[in-house]
Formats: sequence, C-alpha cells, structure tokens
Amino acid sequence: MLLEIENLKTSYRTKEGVVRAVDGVSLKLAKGKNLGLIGESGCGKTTIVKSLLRILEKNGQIIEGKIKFENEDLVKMDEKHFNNILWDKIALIPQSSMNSLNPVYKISSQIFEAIKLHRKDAKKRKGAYLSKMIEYFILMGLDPKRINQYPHQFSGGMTQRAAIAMAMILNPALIIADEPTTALDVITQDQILKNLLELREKFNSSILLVTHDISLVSETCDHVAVMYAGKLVEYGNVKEIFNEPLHPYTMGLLNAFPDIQTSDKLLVSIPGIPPNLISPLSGCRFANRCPFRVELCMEEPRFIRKSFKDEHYVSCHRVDEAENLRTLAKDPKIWKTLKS
Amino acid sequence: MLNSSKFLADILNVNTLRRMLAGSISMLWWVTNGIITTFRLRELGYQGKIGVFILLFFIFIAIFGKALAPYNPKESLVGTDGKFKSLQTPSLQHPLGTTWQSRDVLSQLLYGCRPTLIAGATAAFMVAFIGVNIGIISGYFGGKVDMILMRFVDIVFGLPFLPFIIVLVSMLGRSQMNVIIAIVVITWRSVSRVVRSQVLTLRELPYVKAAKVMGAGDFRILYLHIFPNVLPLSVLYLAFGFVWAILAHADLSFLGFADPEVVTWGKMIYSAWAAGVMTTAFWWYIPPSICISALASAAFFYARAFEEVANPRLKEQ
Amino acid sequence: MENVKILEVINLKKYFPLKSASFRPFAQRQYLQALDGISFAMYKNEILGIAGESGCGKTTTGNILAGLYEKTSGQVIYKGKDISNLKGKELKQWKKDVQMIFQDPFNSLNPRFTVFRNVVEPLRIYGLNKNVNEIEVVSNALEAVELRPAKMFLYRFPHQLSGGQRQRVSLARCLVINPKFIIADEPVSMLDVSIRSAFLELLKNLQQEEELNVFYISHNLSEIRYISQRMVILYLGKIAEIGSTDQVIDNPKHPYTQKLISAVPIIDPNRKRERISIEGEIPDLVNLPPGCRFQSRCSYAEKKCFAIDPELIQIEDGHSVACHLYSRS
Repeated sequence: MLLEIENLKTSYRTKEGVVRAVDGVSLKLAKGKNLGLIGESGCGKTTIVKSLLRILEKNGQIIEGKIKFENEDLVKMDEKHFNNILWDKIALIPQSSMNSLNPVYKISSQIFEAIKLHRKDAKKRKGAYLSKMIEYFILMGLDPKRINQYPHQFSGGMTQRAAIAMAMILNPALIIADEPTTALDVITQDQILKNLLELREKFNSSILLVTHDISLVSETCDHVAVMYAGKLVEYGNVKEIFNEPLHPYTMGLLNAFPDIQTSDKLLVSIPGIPPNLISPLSGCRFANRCPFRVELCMEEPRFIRKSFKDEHYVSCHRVDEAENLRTLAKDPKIWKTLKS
Repeated sequence: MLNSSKFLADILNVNTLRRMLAGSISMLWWVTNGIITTFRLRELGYQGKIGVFILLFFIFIAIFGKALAPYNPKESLVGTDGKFKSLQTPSLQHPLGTTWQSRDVLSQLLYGCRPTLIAGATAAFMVAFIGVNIGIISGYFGGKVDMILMRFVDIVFGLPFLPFIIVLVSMLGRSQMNVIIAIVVITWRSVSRVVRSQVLTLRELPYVKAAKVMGAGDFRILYLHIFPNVLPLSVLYLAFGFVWAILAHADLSFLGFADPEVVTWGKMIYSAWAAGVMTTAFWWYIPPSICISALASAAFFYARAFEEVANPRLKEQ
Repeated sequence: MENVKILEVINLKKYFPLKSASFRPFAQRQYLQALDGISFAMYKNEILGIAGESGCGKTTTGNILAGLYEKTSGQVIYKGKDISNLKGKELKQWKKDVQMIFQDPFNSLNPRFTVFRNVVEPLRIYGLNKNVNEIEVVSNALEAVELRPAKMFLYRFPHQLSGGQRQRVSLARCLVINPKFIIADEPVSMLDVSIRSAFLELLKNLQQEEELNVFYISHNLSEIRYISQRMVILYLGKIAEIGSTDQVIDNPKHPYTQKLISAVPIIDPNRKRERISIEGEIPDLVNLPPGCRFQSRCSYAEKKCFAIDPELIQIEDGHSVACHLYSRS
C-alpha cells in the first residue's frame, strides 16, 4: 500500500466559526494503481491534497488522522524529512501550471533548481539530468528545444505538459494531479492524459487524480472515491461504481453527466446546495438533497459500511435497496420531488 | 493626426456635460447613501466605531468651538497682577496654558478646528471628485481620451508643491481658498492614476459587457456600473485627501503662506516654533499636533468603516 | 422544425489589429484573423450550437452578434437588412432583441446592485418601466427562471446567491425585455456538474415557451449535443462543419470534427472509444499559411490542401463540410 489516509480531519478557522472541510476521510492507494477523487465545489477534495502536501492556508490545520506514505506518517514527519520526500517521491501537477512557473526563468533552470534540492550529485551530473529533461519533453510531445524557453512562450496545454515532465523527472512513486486538464481543450486534454498514462506505465507510479469530471476518472483510474461535504460517501472499483453505484449522490452525479454518444439520455439535476460545514452537522449530509431520504437519515449519524465484493464502501442507510433506487435515480422527475 | 478642436468639441458638447452632471449627482447619491449607512453603528468594527466617534467629536467642536472657547484666541490677556500672561503652564483658568503672546491655547485649539476641518473636507471632496472622474473616464474610454488625460496628469505631476503654492499665493494673495486650491491641484493626480488602473480591470468584467449588450450608454455604465465599484477606493482617497489637506494646511500655516488672520492648528505649531519655545512650552504645540494626528487617524478609520458597511460583499465576511 | 430563416450571417470576418512592438510607420499592419469568412443561417425557434476549441472564434462570433465588437466585413442579415445599416428605431429594436449571458456567474451581476436592481436595468435603459410595476415585472422574470418565491430573491445581493442562482438571475435579466435571441457563452462551464442540467433544461424550456432563438457557445460537445438542434464546428476562424447535431456527431465528415469527437472522454468504463491521435501544432494565427487551416494536423492532407482553402460543400440535406476530401463528388 503506497498511500493510506486514516480518518483525516482538516479544518479552517474563519470569522464565522470552524469549517470542517475534511471530516474523517480514509483512503487507500496501492502501488502502480490510480485513484480518482471525485467531488464538486466545497466537498473537500482540494483540502485533502493541500493537507497531504502541507500547503494549507494559514487558517487551515490538520486536526486528526494519519497520512501514511510508504508506511511513514506524513502528518507527524519533521519538515526536513518531508521536504526530501516532496517532488522526489510525491509530485504535484497543479491545476493551472501557468501560475506555478516563474516567468523570469527558463524552464530548464527552474527544473534544475528543483532537482538540486533533492539530488546532491545534481551539479556534477547536470548533463545527465538535462538529457533526461529532453527525454521527458519528447515523451510529452514537446519540442526538446523548448527547455530553454520561458513560460510565456508556451501555450496553456504546453505548460501543463511541461509541468508533468517536471513532476515526473525524479520518477516519483505518487503523482497528485489536481484538476490537471480543466482549463484545456478536449484535444489537448486527450493528449495529456495519454502522455500521463504512458509515463506512468513506464515508471510504475501511482496517480491520485482529483477532479470533478467523472469521465476522466473512468478512463484513467482503477478506483474511485466520491466525496461530498467533507466526507467520503462511496469508494470502489471504477467499473462497479459506474455499473452499480450504491450512494444516491453517486447515482445523481452519474446521471447528470451528458454522454456524447447517446443523444437521448435524460439528464438529472440535483437541486439544492451542499450544507454549510460550520454549524454542527448531524445525520446524513446529503439528506436535504436526497430524494430517497427517510426518517432514519435525519437522526442517525453516518458511518461507512463495507458492502459486498472487491472493497466497495458506501455510507447510506438504504444500501440494501440500492438496485431499486438506481432505477428511480435515472428519472429526472424523482430529483424534483424534494420539498425544501 | 489629431484634430484637437473637433475632438474637444465632440467631448465638450452639451450632451456630454449634461450626462456628466447627471453622473456626478449619481455619485453624490452613492457617497451620501454610504455615509448614512456608516451610522448603523452596530455593524461597524471597533476601528470604524472609533473613527466615527472621533470625527463626530471634531465636527461638534468645529460647530460649537467658538461658543465653547473661554477666551478670544487673538486677545493677549492680562493677569490679575497687571502683567501679560505669557507662556503660562496649564492651570484652572487656562487648562492648556497660554502662548508667548499671552493667548489662551485652549481657545485657539477650539477656534482652529473649524477652518482646519473645512479646508480638509473641501479639499478632500474636490480632490476625490476631480481625480475619480478623470480616472474613470480615462480608464473606461481608453484610446485617445486616455492618452490625453494621462499626459495631462503627467504634466501636473511635474508641478512641485511648494513653488506652485508660492506662485499662487503671491499672485492671488493669502487666503483659505487659495490654500485649498493649491492642495487640490497637487493632490488629485495620484487619485486618478489609481482609480484608472482599477477601472481597466473593471471594464473587462462580464457585468459591464452585459450592460453594453443591454444597450446602456457609456455614461450610464460609467456612473451606474463602474463608479459604485470604485467607490471604496474613492472613499479611501477621500480620506487620504482629507489627511493630506489638513497636513498641507498645517504645513502652509507653518510656513506662513496661509491667511494670517485665521487661527489654525498649523499656525499654532508655527508660532510656538517661531517663539523658540519648542523645548519648553509643550502645552502650546502638543495639543494641536495631537488633534491633527487624531483627525487624520479618524479619517482613515472612517474610510475603513465606510468600506465595511457600504460594500455588500465585505459585510458577509 | 420550421424552416424560416430568422438570421443570416454571410462571410463574416473579424480581424484584430495587432499593436507592433516597435514604431514602424511604413510596415504593413499585422492582423489576428479571428474570424475569416463564416456563413451560416439561424432558423426560427432553434438552438444553434457553436462548438470549437479556444481560439476558434466562437466567442468572437457571439460578441459581434451581441454588439460588443464591430465586424470587419461581411453581413449579418436580420429582417432583410444588414445590422450595420440599421439606424434609429430599427437599430434600437435589434439591440433590444439580442441579449447575452456569460460564462462567469461570479462576475455577471453588478455586485453593488441587488437582484432586483440588476434585473430591472434593461427595462430602465429602454424606458419600458414607465407604465409598469417594476417589481411585478422583475418578480415574473424571476419566477420564470425558477427562482421561487421571487420575494425571497428580490433584495438579495449577488454574493448571497449560489453560482447556479446567479446564472438564473442573468437569464431573468435578459428575459425582462422579451428578446428574440439569447447568446449563451459557455453558461454552465463554471457551474457544478450536478446543477448544469437544471440550467440547460430551463434554457430549453424557456426557448420553447418564449419562442426564442438561442445561440449556444461551448467547447463541451456533450453539452452541445444535449441542448442544440443544429451545430457549427469552428476551427481557427472558419467553419469546418455544419449540420444537425445528430448528423455532425454521429456522422462527422471533417477530419477535425472526427478527431474532436474521438477526444471526448466517455464516462462509461465499459465502453472504449476510438482515439484518433492528433499530431502537429496549431498554425500562427497572424501569419497563416495558404490553404486549409487544418493542414498542419490533418492526416489526409494532400497538395490541394496546402494551396486552396476549401469551401463549404453540402454532402447531405442540411449537412455541409469544408474539406477537399468531399469536393470530388
């Protein structure tokens, strides 16, 4: 097991109160496998990434939990040790690379600067590292001459690919991709995903893909974790989650995605907005938007229950009726029957 | 290349002026509305509350100062022993002591509040009005208009404060109004630059484009859509203008350029310095200094309060 | 679908002049050819989708129709006249008939105005508020976009609303003056996926009820498929393909369209899509080489493609392609 997150709780202190952005999330990622973390705005997935990489805002704090990477707890690790691991073993592909590259330095200089921090022999073996950079650029479909260019000379898609090359250069075991293709065109997105998967194959790294776009996860990941309002609502194998979702939110989400190949899919829309994560929350967090809620959902606290084969987890009281609920969830009208 | 006379005629026709007048009235409405909301004291942070109270205090003094003053500030007073009460330390009769010319410091302080406040407020509004208008027009229209206005601003930037005042005062005489004019001419230029840069960002926002698509004319967009969003910045510059004006006013009084008949705080400090008693007569120049600082701070706190209550977004945070 | 043409765009061009870095008075002005001669028609009561990637000119087209940009050349024919020739009342009517909603819900409404004040603005601009009860009209518009009860929303400020609600207010703002056209520029791409379809459904329903024509601009082909009846694929300022949504997506003829569609990820992990790989770089829009714009990335490119720019050729009823592959028939 490469990465194991155990009961992570991260909160932000704000004027109105404490926002429990991540409220007890547990995840596992095996070596060589890909995990997709799905959720919409405010679900907490970006907070998990920030907690992992220690880039939380000043008012954010990990309250509880462990993040075990190669069996070492990242939360309790001392700074020096953590900085060594960063980029060497865990790399980040951020959402908008244009903003994470320094505009006044050439790409090659920037990558090399970062290499120096992790490899003592960097200066001596500069030539070797430069040729490695060229190799990765070619792999990503970029003209190798571009390593001596400045960020502004790259288009959006190219900076993203450069960012991936940069992330991969020390062959990290874990790559965290935070919405890596949001701002990009479909064709560029396709190229980048392809390149990312090829590189991953070559070096047997694992990818943690954080996104709101389920279709990306379907195509690239082995497992999916669905987040809602700071909690994990479903986790499982990609095919199972898609064919047999157990949580109403997952069902709704899957039915809300238009499919380019079917012109007559009835799209569903989940009314309402996610709950405020400040006030004390009780009961199921999805209840106020769930068309299948019952008395039980209001009073009983949540818990993750393991169901059936291949590690398929869900937190829903009505999981036994899942098949029936799935059929109902395909009908857009069901989602409109909610009384506020 | 540029047919300036035709261009100016384009700009200065009646329609434009009429629209600008309407626009200015609208600006006044927004500012007044904002000021009224600042008096909802419960919604203010502690900074705002302090600002409001200090300002109200000084406004009160400005209105009633003359009535409250125990003595005539220009009258050299004679004591019971027949001698002039020069440089007396604070006492029951003279809570802030007397000046070298045997004048009551407290009375001077009270009298001096009104001209200082009037000079400050007048200058502040004029500075903000001119600076903001030029800033929003320049930033919104861009192109030739922007170029001309900004070159004009550059020229004004070249004017040095003191020599300009000297020339103005020697030509027009020493009066309150001239001091105010001098301050305004020099101060508005920074406002316009800053406002212009904010407008450059604002005009690209979707709601401005939406207003254009909806058929709104340029001036409507300027004064109804862009100005209210530049308001917090404008009010901040109102405060800046106010503070600069008071300080400049004090400086000018100190340097002897202001109207010699009017009692001002700056003049008090000047007189103390001129009398050579800066190291001994603390009661004379420290009170006016404190008043100037307090007023300046209050203005900034108030500007902050204004932004808090007038900006609907900040309210929620 | 009624086949009455309500708007026709003929050979529309938009060139943006580039400011040169150095002062060269005798050098030729350089232009960014954002739109280089596009022609299409819009029929009554339809939703026309405009698809393409960034830089293809779809937003530019929307902006020209909305009046934000002036066209460089070409015609936009409405009610028999080119919009550039409209004056006075007719011009005012045209402007009133075209409204727009934008991509960014967070900056589409004036943050200092309440919802009411935002929505009533077009009424006041056109002077239509004189004999009506403003609050009533605004409330009706809010109810039409399913913000119920309207009372609750009238005096709120934009930042108190969610993204989806704000987009609805933008829509209500368009509806108060009964437009004929609504130009929607990527209206849902910044909204959460789970609420997108509600907005799209709303747009669809309003289009039918109010007999509107919607010009739907997006780079998301699945969305375009869902909402529009006909669609246009733009590539670097020219139309690559145009036809009904079913025709273009199920039976794409232009090599670019084929690649575009094959690049869309599929949500169903059981299905595999046929990935057509695409190599080559996008040409410089300022110094375009002669011939078809897709030449540098097309696997079927022949000699002809590097010399002559293909015209739109009809290959079946309502379906046209601009590609030399089809010029033989």
